[in-house]
Amino acid sequence: MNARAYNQLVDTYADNVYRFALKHLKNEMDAKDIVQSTYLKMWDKHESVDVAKGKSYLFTTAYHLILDFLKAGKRFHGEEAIVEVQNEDNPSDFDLSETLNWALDKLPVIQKTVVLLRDYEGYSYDEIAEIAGISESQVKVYIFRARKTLKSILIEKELVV
Amino acid sequence: MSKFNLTNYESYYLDYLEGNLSEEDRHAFELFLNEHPEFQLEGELPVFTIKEDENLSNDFINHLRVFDEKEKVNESTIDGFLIASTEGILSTEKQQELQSYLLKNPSHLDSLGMYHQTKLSPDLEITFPNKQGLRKGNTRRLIIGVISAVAAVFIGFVLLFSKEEKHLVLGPKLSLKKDQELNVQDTIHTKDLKFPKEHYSNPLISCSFEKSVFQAISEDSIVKKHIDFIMENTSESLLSVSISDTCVWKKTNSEYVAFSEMESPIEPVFRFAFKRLRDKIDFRYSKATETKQGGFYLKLWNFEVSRKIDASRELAVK
Repeated sequence: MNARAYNQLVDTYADNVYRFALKHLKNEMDAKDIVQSTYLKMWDKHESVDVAKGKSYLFTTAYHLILDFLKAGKRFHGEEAIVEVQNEDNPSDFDLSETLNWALDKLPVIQKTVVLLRDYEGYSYDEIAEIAGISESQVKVYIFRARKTLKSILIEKELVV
Repeated sequence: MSKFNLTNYESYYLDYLEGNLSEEDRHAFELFLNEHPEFQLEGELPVFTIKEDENLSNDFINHLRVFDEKEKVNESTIDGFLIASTEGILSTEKQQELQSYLLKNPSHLDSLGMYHQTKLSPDLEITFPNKQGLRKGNTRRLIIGVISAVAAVFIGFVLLFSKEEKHLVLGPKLSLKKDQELNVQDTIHTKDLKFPKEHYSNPLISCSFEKSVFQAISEDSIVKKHIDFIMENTSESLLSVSISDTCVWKKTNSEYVAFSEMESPIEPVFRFAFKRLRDKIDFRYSKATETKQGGFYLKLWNFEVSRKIDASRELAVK
């Protein structure tokens, strides 16, 4: 990958990686650090990274950096545990989007990851499996569980149609 | 590289113990456990038993269920099919089966709507604020640009200083002294007599010459190396200077101005440095002549400035 292709990946995906990190960390500075580190790592390996796999490489790297970050801050208790989010406010009673985002934080890291990659980035199950380092069938299980949880929270908040 | 690592091995462990891993994955997982013996479970696995009065709720059991498209759509599998439909991963056949079921059991349509509502949309107003800081390649260009500019200034100064020591060489029979007025019509030839510019106080001559040089360079022109002057006696008995046919400013098709044809390289070098920053800049040199000292030019990207003292000239450069 040359500098031009790398810069193209910056222009195209920096926002996506940032949103992905922000959803996990709930802190802009931390999310910016993750984006910086992600691209730094990719530039370090740019000669061996295939341009076609650039986006996948970015999200894989970002995901692992996020896990490392959560571990370092002792906010990580396993991929299937829920990350403790501080200062979370209860969502407004009538805002579906706000409630959905609030509900997202109630999901374990791995479920949040697969749902974000699925809904935000439109990745297929096998692509998500590659990024998260799990099997495709596990991706399906996590997504199904996440949807059920999100649905139950929406019902709890009485925000469903 | 193994697909198993410290962050995901646990999720594979149960599959491994239950024999659900493929042959390849099982082998890889055993290799992983050999490399990390601290993760190996020792002794017999704990046996979990559920007492008869400790029934799990249906919701929890449903939560644990894994969706299998081969199953029939019914009350216990409906959630899986609704999610699969939301995800768009149902086969056409199963989608039709689901629709038929929903027609008979419309109460589940609400659930289908709920699952659709769980799909997230990114907030596109959230953007990374410093993409420019992530980009690569600009620094190198900037450094080269700065180097080229510095080199241009360096070369310019070298030549300016050397020019100050330079003497215009005029005709053999003329020796122009400070404040001397010329009243002859001679064509001045390039021979031995020295004509220091700083002693040459006649404003007409000086201004005329300097102006011509400046205009020529700014118009992308080149000047011939041998500059001859024709001295004319004006009606006011003052000296005026015109440039002879052998000293014309020539337009050139080349993008480069040969250094040998530059009176002062500062402007063209700068012009090239900035205008051609993204391309190669040629390297040109001049040989020392009777009337001009040598000079040098540079070629960037493989940045190189070379300079050589010629035995016969003070500043011959190659």
